[in-house]
Amino acid sequence: MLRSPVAAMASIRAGVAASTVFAALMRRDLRVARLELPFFLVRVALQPLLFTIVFGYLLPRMGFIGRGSAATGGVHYSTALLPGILAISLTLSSIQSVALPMVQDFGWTREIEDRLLAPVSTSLIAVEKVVMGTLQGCVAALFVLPIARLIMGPIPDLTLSNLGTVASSPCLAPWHSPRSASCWAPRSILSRSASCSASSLLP
Amino acid sequence: MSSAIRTDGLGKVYPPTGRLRRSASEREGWLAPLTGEGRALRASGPIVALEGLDLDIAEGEFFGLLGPNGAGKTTTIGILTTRIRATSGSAIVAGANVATEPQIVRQRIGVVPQRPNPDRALNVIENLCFHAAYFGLPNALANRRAKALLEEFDIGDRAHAKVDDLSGGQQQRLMIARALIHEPQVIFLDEPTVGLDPQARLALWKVLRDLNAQGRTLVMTTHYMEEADQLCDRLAIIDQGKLLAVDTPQGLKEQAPGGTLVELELDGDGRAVAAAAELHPDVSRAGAKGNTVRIYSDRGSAIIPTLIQFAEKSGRTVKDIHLSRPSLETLFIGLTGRKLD
Repeated sequence: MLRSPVAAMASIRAGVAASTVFAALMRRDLRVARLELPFFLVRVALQPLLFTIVFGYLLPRMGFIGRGSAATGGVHYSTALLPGILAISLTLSSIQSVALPMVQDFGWTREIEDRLLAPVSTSLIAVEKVVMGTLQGCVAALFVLPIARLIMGPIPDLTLSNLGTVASSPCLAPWHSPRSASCWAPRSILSRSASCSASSLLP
Repeated sequence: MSSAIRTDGLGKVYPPTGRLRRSASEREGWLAPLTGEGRALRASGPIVALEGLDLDIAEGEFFGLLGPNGAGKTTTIGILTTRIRATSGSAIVAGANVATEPQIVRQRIGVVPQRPNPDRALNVIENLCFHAAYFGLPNALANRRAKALLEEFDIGDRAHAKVDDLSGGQQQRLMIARALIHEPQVIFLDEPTVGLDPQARLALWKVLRDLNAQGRTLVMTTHYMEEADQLCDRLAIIDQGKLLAVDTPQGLKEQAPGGTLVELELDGDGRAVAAAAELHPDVSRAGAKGNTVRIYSDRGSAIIPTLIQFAEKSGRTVKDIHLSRPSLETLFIGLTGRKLD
């Protein structure tokens, strides 16, 4: 029927390396992510934008929240707020970009079955989805930093010289629980009460 | 000829689902008394989908699994394609064990699902190319094969269309193209013609015949007698998870009990009529189920006046008569006692 290079087909029949299949699965998800890029950006930007406007700008302006004083142990409010917003956008965007489509796939569209037929162990397909979710979460979290800086004004320690450390925190955080996003943020931003404030902000 | 598929006492029992859902409906206490759903689910035990299925399908064979809805056809295909774990028994597909070497099996089989499930985020040709990539085909080769397959299945001009814009028949052909992209030895088709118009169905039949002519093993489930009769080299009739008969369509037809099936619809219980008819020399078999009497006779329609007499003698009126020539359908009714629909 089809004239295909016999040697290539024969070598494929003999078996495929898991890494090759993993790369193909990633390529597919990246392609879909690229097609959905505008929606992804709107989704990713809108929520932290609202959070920072309400909690980082409006409430302090209206005097409901102090800007940080001796009473709070000298912690600047924005340094406590930022890790929480970072963590929440990380978690939610990962869920939205990977978990919800998978609910659809397993529920009624069954689209993922073409990948479940790939000649690798099923857990590899699951791992690929985790990696993809992590990646998208990281991208989302990185969007939060400039938005927060724009709206909340200068945040102590969120400076260009610290950029490397700050940017790496959302990238490393997803490998732990979302709450531990705070563990990876620069010490000086978080050392005092960040984790407590982050958890109080999480629903 | 060596066998492409061999199963040994394959069984599948689905665990009861009632418990899980019952607790959910109990949580929403107001719903349960309203619908009685909770009570109905409480009664549902484990579902036995397959009971000791033994199959031996030769290489290059076009094999059909025939049975009504819920007979266990889809479960059988699911196990053979490594998507469902069997609870008992074993299966060898294309030389590998589905339970212990699923990766090798997946590399050698192609699957066409019951309902088209293309990757709707991608366009038509991407669907094929990415599927090829999951099987390790290099990009250039994947692209070439995808184009050739699309041309072969007459959807070459839709290569860059969205999958949702394809018609049902085109989507089904895309699914077959996808199943073929990695040149599998065995192809599974789960009710491939359901929901297709007659023309699309005929086109699909031709595609399937061609594939078989190329020496591929095809396993197809269907509940259309005509389709099984037309296409398959051999057929297995399954009902309620059990294998009832395996043979060529011709062989099965010959097994069909005594000739023409005459079905009488009476205005009351038909047991007396069936008992009287059974004694008649021209009747090979007779039985009654409620108001319906089924009689197999070698004399075909000539037996009808006699049967009407029997009915009148036992005080019944014949409301309807239906004749079926010897066919897979009559065999199926003979084996299972019910119609295939």
